[in-house]
Formats: sequence, structure tokens, C-alpha cells
Amino acid sequence: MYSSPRWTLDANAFEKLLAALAPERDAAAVRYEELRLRLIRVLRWERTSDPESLADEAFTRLARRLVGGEAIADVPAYLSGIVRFLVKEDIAQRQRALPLEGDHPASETSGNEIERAHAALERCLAALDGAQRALVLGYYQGDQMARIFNRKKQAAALGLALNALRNRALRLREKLETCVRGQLVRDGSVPNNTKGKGTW
Amino acid sequence: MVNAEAYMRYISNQLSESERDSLREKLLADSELSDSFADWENESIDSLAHGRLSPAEAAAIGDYLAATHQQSRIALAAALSKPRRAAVSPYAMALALAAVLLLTFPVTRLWRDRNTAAPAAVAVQLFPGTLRSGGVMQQVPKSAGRRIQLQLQYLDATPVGKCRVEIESIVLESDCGAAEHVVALPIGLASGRHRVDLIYHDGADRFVYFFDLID
Repeated sequence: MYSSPRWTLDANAFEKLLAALAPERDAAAVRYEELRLRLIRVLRWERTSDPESLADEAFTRLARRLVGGEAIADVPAYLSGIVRFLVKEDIAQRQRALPLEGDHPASETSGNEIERAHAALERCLAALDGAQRALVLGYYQGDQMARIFNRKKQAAALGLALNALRNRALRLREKLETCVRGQLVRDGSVPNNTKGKGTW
Repeated sequence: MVNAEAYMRYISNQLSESERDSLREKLLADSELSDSFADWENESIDSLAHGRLSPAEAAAIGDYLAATHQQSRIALAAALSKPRRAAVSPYAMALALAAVLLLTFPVTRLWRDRNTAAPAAVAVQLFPGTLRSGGVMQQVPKSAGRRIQLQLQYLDATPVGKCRVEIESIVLESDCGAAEHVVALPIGLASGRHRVDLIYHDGADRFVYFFDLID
């Protein structure tokens, strides 16, 4: 939906994009994945309708500039400018498609929903290896006080700084959320009304 | 300042266009900041699922989740923190019990400012790790023309160190975990539910207190 009709990201353009991120290809590929994750998050916080597709579109527009010979020294800053336009375009597109959108139904989380989420979560947890399962459960278990103490104990046991532990837990939670959402969509508990398939 | 409040303002569309542009650029350039925002989001959703947010924060997060079709994350948050037999340590249980016991103490007037040049002050105790939906809420009586001091009390195991204390728009650098830790509320603070955040400087620890300021 958001792909440019006259220009697509081919292999050559993608290589130019990677080269703009880092001199070495492997490092560039890692940087691309990290930047894509940050881009998707920003587009979600900006309340766009399809963060993943828009992130890809942002990279396509960036690559097009690079192929055209433009020198871009600060890629995140340049992407930020692209995102600004994409957000405006997305708002305009939604206003054309759904003029009355904006009244979001209030959502009470019922006991049944929690039970279904719990069942889905158990299935998704079973797909993680034991260490990952222990890490994510330990990290998000309990209330505020218990969490603080559990996390210190976890970090010490794993020999990690608290920030490193947090980042591992974040990645695992994102993985679990994607998995749980997929399960809930499949069993009909959640409508498949988001276009993005991954991070939400 | 980029903090949990900035996250809330960002997702609530409360930033000016220039603030939004600046924050977006930082979020794209800085992995650590992006992760912090994602972490605050998770913690906010968890707090929402357990009724621990102020009405304004609950409304902001709820609207954001509805607008982006992410309401299922609330159910997931509730499911994720649901106790599992193997994952609950006796240590955590003991801490939770300790917090509850401390909370059963009544709000106590501890100290009155003797400086006649300054308005009189009332001090109240707040304890960390407090609320679940329907739980005990610290109530702080509002007295006209008097400065209110919150004396923050800690469990023994609470970390001691430099931290940032945030109450609404007030941000103070402080020594958290110290025996005599008092923060002053502004006289004009509105009645209603308020939140105090203690954010330790390594960015990983955060304590949240809530209290109801009552007339």
C-alpha cells in the first residue's frame, strides 16, 4: 500500500543502503535490523496504521535518495524527516478512508480475555528454550517491589548489567507478544485488523 | 528532559511539533533511549493491567492502545505477571508481605516546619510498592496555605544512591534510600491521585509511589 509506485528497492539499491549504514556488510546488516526496530517503534508511537510497511517505505525512500547520488551523513536524522512526511501521509490516507475514525471503543479487559491470553502465552512460552523462558518470566513476574528485587537477583545470577538484562527481556517480550497475538488472531479472540504482522 | 513523562506525552500527542521532531530523531539515533521507551511502555501496560495507573495515565495509555489496535497487550500483561508456582520466590513473597504490612500504617503527621518565615508544613509517610486495584491508597490531607512534605520510607533492601524524584512536573535530584528523605509538594498541587517516581541513575531501577491528595 505504501510502496512507491514508480520505484522499488532492488538488490543494488539495498546494497547502497547498507553501505550508508556501515562500511562492512555484516555490521551494516546488524545496524539495519536495529534501525528498523527503532523505526517500527517510532511509527507505532506516532500511531500510524501500519508501522512495519511504513518502516519499509522509509528505507525505500532513503535508498532512492542514495541511488540518486545524494550524500547522507546522518541516516537517523534523514529517516526522521522521512517519517515526518509518512506520518502526515498516513493521517491523510486514514481520514480519506475512514472519516469518522478517532472514536476508539473503550476496552475493558475481561477475565475471559486474560484466560485466553494466558493459554496463548503458555503455548508461546513452551516454544522458548528453558533459559529464555526463565528470563522473561522472572523479569516480568510480580508487582513493582518484587520485580526490582527479582531483577537484581537475575542480573547477578546471569552476570549481566541491569540494562543488558532489560534489553534481553524486552526482545523476548516482543517475541512473545508477536506469538500471542498470532495465536489470538488464529483462535478468533482478536480481529486481524492490523496490517503489521510482527512487532506491536 | 527525556524520561517516562516524555514517553507519555509522546504517545498522547501532547508534544509540540518541534519537540516531536527532536524526540523522534533521538529515538531513531539512540538504541538505549528507544529501549527505555519500550520498557516504559511495557511497565505502563503492566501497571494498567493491574490498576496501578492514575486515571489520566490510564486514559492516555488506553487511548494509545485502542488507536493502534494493541488492546490485547493488556490481557497479555495480566497473563505474563500472573504468578506461576515455580517462578515465585519466597524472598519476593516476603517482600510483598512487608510492603502490605507497612501500608497498613495510617498516614501520620510527623513533623511541622518550625521556621516561622515559611508556611507550616505537614509531613506524611509514603511506602513503595503499594497499589493494586482496590488496594490501600495513601491519602494525604491537603491543608490550605501549608506546604506538604512527603517523607519517603524505604525497606532495608531498597537501593541507596543518587536518583531523580519526579512528582508531576517537578524534577528533583536527590539521595534516594536515605533515612531522612523528604520531598516537598507544591502548594498549588491539585486534589486527586498523584504519582511519585524515583528513578535511579543507572536507569534500571524505578520505584513508583501513589497518593491521593484530598481536601
